[in-house]
Amino acid sequence: MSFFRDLWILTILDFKRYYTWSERIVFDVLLSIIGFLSFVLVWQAVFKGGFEGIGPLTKDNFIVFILSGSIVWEFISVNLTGDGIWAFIREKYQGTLPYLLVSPANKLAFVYSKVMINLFKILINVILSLFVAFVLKVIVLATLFSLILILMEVFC
Amino acid sequence: MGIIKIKEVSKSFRDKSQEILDRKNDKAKFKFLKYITYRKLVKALNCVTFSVNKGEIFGLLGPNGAGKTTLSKMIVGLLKPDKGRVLVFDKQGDDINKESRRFNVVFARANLFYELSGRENLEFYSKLYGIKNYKKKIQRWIEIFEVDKKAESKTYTYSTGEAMRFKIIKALLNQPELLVLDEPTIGLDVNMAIKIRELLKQLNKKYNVTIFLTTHYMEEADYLCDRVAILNKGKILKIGTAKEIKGLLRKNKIVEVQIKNFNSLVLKKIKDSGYVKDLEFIGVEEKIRVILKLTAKVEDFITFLHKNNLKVSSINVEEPSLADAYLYLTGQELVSDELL
Repeated sequence: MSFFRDLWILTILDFKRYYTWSERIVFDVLLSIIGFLSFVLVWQAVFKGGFEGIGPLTKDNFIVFILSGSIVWEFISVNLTGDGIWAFIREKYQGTLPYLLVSPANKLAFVYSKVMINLFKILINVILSLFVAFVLKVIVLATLFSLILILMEVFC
Repeated sequence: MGIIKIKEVSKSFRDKSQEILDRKNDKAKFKFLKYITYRKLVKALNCVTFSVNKGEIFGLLGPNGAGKTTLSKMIVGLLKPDKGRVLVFDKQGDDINKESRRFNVVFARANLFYELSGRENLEFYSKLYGIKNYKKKIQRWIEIFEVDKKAESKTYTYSTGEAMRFKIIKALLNQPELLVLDEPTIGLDVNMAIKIRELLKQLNKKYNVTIFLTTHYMEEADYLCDRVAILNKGKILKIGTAKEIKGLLRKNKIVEVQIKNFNSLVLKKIKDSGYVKDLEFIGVEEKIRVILKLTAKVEDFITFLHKNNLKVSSINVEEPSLADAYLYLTGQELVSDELL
């Protein structure tokens, strides 16, 4: 059980550290909305022949929509917020890694705690995307499918 | 019983400052890659052997780049030796981490989480180490280390000394059997450095905590350590008590004497006594600094002064310090030419 205990402690730590500055919450919300809108805009630009109007998706083309959108979303998420492996590099350069490695913390829990914060950010992103999708009358199913894709990407 | 056993340990690193183009004379793995630059191997530790006994305070002294931090990292399991064995609580390699609740560490260069306050950092580590009633314990240590005013501030606002105090508290939270301290008093003001030395001494006496510390401060090693090792260029030059190491110096004893009714006759008498190598006046005329011959004993010189009815109002004998011995052993320049 020490894995789950350590995972909980380390995840809480990462949450506290990440949201120390309230500006980050605003940044995350904006990023989610911009990210989702980029799905729509890229898809419209590439497959609908320009920005003539954001219309609802159809069952035939939503996979193309999701894929193009996912690429943009991942690009923004990974490159701008520096997630994933950068979390470990940040620990190294901040000089906080030695104390964590010497501590009795489960090392696997330490790795997964870095995933947990990203997972949370993705969930926020999806919720906001659903909201924007509802406002823009884009098919909700498309957003749910994007959630599955992202979760698969995180855990595989 | 040795808590730490270091047996013929060697470790090399690629030196980032020494990039070499010509690789003909070096044993490189991929010789077919002729034109790629590579970094020269530098030995950080070279066949180091010693052990630290339970309840002992062991000091590792050495100049910058001697290999002190490398050795500290090996002891806590962060680095593995290329050759030899590092045993801590009779465990080696990755198994050292299984005993991590029994030891703790302070690295001069490692940091606390700067986004959190000092107290939040301590609470996090307490939870990670599974410490019960940690809030009370943290408060107690915060008061002892006089950092209560800073406890709620983010650690990026701390001075070096304040951050070091929180790091030391972190290391004491789990009541470790072994404390590995890499330059624990660096950046601290004199008062706090003395307080921490006292505290470490008390911890060692009261709870029999074994302490392995690396330091640049000779007086710290002299005051704290039961045994001292002098490390230079990855090699142990000498291990022993501070007294033994100081004894290595064949130093001329220096005596400062203040004599009443001092005149040229008295000066001649002292010069011709057979004990004196050299002498000089310090400040006032009556006070002289006498450098005795190597064969001369201080007691004999004092007896000589009494026998000749020279009224001595004060006397001070200078002993060789650990710093003198350190400089002598590491081959660094001595402060004064009269030391050897």
